[in-house]
Amino acid sequence: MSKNKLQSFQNQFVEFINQGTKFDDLSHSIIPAGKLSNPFEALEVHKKGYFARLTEALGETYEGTWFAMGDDMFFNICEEFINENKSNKYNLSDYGKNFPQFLEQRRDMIAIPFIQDMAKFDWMFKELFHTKQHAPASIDELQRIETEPNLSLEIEDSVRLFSSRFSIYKIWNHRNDTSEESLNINYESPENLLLYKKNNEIFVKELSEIQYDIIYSLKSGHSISVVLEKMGVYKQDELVSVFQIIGATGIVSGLRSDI
Amino acid sequence: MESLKKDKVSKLSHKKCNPGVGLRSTHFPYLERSPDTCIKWFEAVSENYMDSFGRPRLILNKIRERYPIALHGVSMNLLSTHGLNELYLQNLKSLIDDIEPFIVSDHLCWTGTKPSNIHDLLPFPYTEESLKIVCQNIDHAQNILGRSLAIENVSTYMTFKQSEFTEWDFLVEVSKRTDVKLLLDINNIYVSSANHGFDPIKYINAIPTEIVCQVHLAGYTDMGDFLFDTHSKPVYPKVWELFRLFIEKAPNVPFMMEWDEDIPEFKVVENEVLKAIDIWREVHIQGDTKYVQK
Repeated sequence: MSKNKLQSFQNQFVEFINQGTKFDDLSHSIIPAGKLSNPFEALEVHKKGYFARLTEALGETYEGTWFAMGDDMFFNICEEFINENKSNKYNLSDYGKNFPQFLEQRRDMIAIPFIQDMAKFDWMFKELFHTKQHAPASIDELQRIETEPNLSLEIEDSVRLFSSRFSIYKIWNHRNDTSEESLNINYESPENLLLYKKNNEIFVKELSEIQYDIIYSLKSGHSISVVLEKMGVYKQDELVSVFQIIGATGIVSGLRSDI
Repeated sequence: MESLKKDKVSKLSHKKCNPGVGLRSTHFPYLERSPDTCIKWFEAVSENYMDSFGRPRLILNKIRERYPIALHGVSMNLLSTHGLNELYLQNLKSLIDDIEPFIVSDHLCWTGTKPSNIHDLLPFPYTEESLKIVCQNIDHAQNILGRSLAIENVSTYMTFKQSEFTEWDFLVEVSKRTDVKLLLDINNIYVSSANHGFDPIKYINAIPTEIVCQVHLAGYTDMGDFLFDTHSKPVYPKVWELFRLFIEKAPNVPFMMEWDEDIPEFKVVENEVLKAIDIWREVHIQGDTKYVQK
């Protein structure tokens, strides 16, 4: 067998798994194990394994989405997703980044209006889980904000913001709950969330809409003076509360002067 | 008699029972409490840590402070006809530099074709051409990583008419050509022997012990038509027999228990390791003690 033949063998093998295509060359070369009656039964062992592994990976990442859909719907949609989206990453846990977009395109998802947002939250949570926690800026350093309003805050990738017109986190918190109560959650109040890491655990804090906008603006790199100007004097209380949150959560890793 | 006794004691002092276990996230909360254990080292699945800088990596670093670590990969794709994934090798090297493992291993298999990844340990025909490709890839990986690798025999559910080598001859030849060490999975030998009808003892006897740097133990699932390598059960008696046969010849080779599906509490996994330790002691200590007492 030349390199090209090994390559051709591998391509045919993968095509069977991905598309179910049966090649004579491949089947004639295979001696199936044990009492498996033909080469395709042996290939099916790997095909079933492929779908099982990718479904398991999606289930681990999209726990909240799985909970909201229920087993039957989730597994059916996983199968369709896997058929349409081949894995091309070496790390199994990176599979399924575009699952929220896949759900968005499906008309039958209208029955669960919050499902795309839930899937986006699941993926964000998974990314945050694997992200390194930054070291928070010291209180002394943060106090420079009072006298130097032209400073910007460094808010790293281990801090995320999430906004939805549905109660995503409230539902997500019930993802391991099998009680009757978990089926009757009112999901119709909007949520603005701050996700951050402390002691290497993930914390989720609910924000008001204005607090969310202020932190979003600061995270985007706007200086404190610019944010103050945008928010206006009448939102001073909210601004003070944001700085209290910054102090308590340690979401700022440093200060940056752009001048 | 006295000199014989001294000789035996001296031989014993060179024998080292070195049991390990596969590190799994379900056991993190238990292991964080630093329990007393018979385990001397842990094996971590490289891909679970090389792209993670959160809690899994933190726990691995904590465990590394107390135990040696072996890194075991599942995605190097050593039979790739497109060469190896350079990003994968770079990320693995970073993890190796951080963890300083005593063994770095992966499997003698392929895992996909560019760009498709099947995330499986896939079989291939044992031919001269396959041998050349795998040796090229191993040489490249060892050069990039700056260290020697170990490769593991996998369980298979098919063989190929065009194969020119037995699996054991193929493994030995790869080792000869690349200096790669072998991670001998005794459960996989048994599973494949039952699936393809060869003698597992012949396999074990064909492997020179000096090229084996680690042994894997696990449990399979009997699917009726074939045996399936699931790592979801305790070790089966026939696999223990093969372990005894191998460990008798290679007392110092580190051995470990893998459990990946339906993972029980740590104590249950540890109990399998204790069974392995008992076998090691029966072979290497009780035998010697009886001899000395005579």
